[in-house]
Amino acid sequence: MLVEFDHTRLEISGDEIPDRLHWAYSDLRERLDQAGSQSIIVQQTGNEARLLIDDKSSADWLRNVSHDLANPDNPPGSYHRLAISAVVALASVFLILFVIIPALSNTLAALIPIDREIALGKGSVRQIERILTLERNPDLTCSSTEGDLALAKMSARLSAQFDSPYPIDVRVFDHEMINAFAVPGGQIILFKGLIDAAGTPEEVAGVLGHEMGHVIHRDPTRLALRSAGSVGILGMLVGDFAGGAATLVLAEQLIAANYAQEAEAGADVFATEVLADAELPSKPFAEFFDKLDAQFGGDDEDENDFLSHLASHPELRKRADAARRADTIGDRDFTPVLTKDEWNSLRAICDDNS
Amino acid sequence: MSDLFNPDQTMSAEYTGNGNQLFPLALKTALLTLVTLGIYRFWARTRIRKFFWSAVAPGGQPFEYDGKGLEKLLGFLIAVAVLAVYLGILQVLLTFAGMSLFGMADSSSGNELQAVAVTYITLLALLPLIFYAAYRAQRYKLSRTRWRGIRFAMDKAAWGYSWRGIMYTFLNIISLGILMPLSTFRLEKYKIDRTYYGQAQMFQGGKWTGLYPAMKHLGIALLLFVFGGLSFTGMDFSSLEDGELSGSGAGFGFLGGVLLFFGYIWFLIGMAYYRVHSFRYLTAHKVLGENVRAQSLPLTSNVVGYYLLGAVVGGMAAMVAGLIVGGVLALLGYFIVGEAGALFGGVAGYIAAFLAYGVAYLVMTVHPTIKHFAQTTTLYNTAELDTIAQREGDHFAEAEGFADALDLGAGF
Repeated sequence: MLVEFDHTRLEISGDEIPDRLHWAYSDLRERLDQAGSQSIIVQQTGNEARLLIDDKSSADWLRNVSHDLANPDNPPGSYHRLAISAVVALASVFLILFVIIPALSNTLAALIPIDREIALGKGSVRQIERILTLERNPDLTCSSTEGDLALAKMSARLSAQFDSPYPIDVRVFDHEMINAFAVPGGQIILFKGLIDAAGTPEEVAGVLGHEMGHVIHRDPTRLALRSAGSVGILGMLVGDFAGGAATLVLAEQLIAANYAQEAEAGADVFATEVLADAELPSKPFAEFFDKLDAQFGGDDEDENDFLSHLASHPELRKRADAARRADTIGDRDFTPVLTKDEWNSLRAICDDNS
Repeated sequence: MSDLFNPDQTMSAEYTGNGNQLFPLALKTALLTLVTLGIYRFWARTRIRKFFWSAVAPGGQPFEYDGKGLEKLLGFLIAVAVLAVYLGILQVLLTFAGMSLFGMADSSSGNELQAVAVTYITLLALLPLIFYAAYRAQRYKLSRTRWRGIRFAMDKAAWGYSWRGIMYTFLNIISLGILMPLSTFRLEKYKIDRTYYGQAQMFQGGKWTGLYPAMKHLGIALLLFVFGGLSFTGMDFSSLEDGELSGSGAGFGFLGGVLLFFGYIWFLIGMAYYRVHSFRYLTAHKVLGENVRAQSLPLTSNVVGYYLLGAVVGGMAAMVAGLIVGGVLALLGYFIVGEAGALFGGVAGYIAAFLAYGVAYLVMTVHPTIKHFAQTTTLYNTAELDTIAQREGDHFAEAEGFADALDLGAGF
């Protein structure tokens, strides 16, 4: 076989080649990332035949005169198709994450039998207790005769304002965290730390109203369904890209936070409405947010911005403002949700717990 | 068997790859994958395949890999568009079913049971797709492979593979692994009988029972498990008798523990032995066209050795890369942006560790393993190869997108 060349092309001839081949340099394609020698294998675009030049100086020369060796020759319209596929894939993911999964979760949450939800909620509470105490059979619930009565009075005044498919069951956990949560099926847990941090019973009532909002909106159940749906999809997107798990956790947090923000805002609105119907002010509720903000909100604006994307609760100051605007009592007198004695009993509800 | 083979028509395979050439390629593509946030992985895999394909040269003629990065990305996007809807709805429905069925009151294991159930049912619902994707990925790879200019190909029969795969998986589980040879053999036969080199079809001969000898070390592991388990029970009886661990009871318990430990190690090596020796058997009974045959005699010790080497070197590389990249970036990030910067540095270190492991795995495990398989493989009756004619290309847009989206395309 003989390879000749001029300034535009290679000319290949030989016994086994019926016609002389003319391969223009611009049509040459190199086979890249080949193992082994320092040779070069070239082909003419679209041609089946390969030419192996097993000599470094000739290979270097050929690399020098041919300028399109690495062209992948993607079929025409490839980038167009790629753009369309990318748009379709993105649209599909967004549609499923932010429209279909939320809608499906909302519908299905309402279909779960009430007794199942209550059972699920009990299971969740036990699990949370175990995580908080690191014990196998913990019991964090506080109880005292007067404290229970005070709690029941507060709960009854608020829950008289709406119809609930679940029995509302409010308990206090002997734990320092300033927190409260609702689980599927109507159980609401207030932490002792939250009661300690509150200045008045109306502040606690605001938080309780907020948690009742979660219960009525079936938020715990809806959110559990939603996050179950979104995890699988995110895992698929991240793929086998190294370290995908870390990215996955972060993305999942962002989406969960996004779902939760909407739920928190909804629960706030519910709380202020219930407070208004119960002829209670929502200003103390706002003041409680201010307290949390003073304690946890950073001074550094940048840091705050960054963290607020990850935190489940929308910025506390905004929530405080919204609660203050919704206040219907103002400076008028109102019947306090608890008397002074009752409030003291509630604050002491965990004292008998060892 | 040797009378089947014409000694003038044998071909042994050369392996021309070397680690000095592979390492920079693996490192470069890993870094590009990192800076493109993973999008380059489709091109990275293409380039790594080009290298390995071209390194294996039966009779001095290297394989050619013709796949493109762009078609892999395209296929991935198509698969994502389809799977996002399926997976999202499926997961919500399964969790709903789990909540409606398993929400047991006062049962402390209610939630965990539900979580486990949902995980397994999800896996079950994915099983048809996993087999479907695996078949298509192999079809894609073969359709982009040439040897001596002639293309390989596979029939479009992924769904048939999918339901067979599910059936054999169940059979495997129900029989506690005793029917594993049946499943290995039939699934391989399904694929091989639909594989072509040019116009010539391949055929998987042999019998599924022929794979039982490959299971002998799994049998030994089973015996160790049984004796280990019995010794453990022996300890329980004796300790019940006198209320505390008696001397002989403790001895039995110790013996049982040792047996169980060795049983586990033996099981892992037994699995490797099974894979290597079933590969030997299946290769020896494959026929291409009229009578082109092959023999491959890889050793379990080599395969296990390369795997351990890759794990050890990869682990160390991951640790070093993770600590250096993560440490430096986290510190820099902390001083420039604050906590968010430190978090970013930590994530980058984590990713760097994975990439370092991937590079080490390619160089220390994949490369010597392919070399070993190539060098222990011989082709017979090769004169017939010259008569095999070219076939049409198989252009399908989805490439191996489903396997990618389902994380089955691990490695290269």
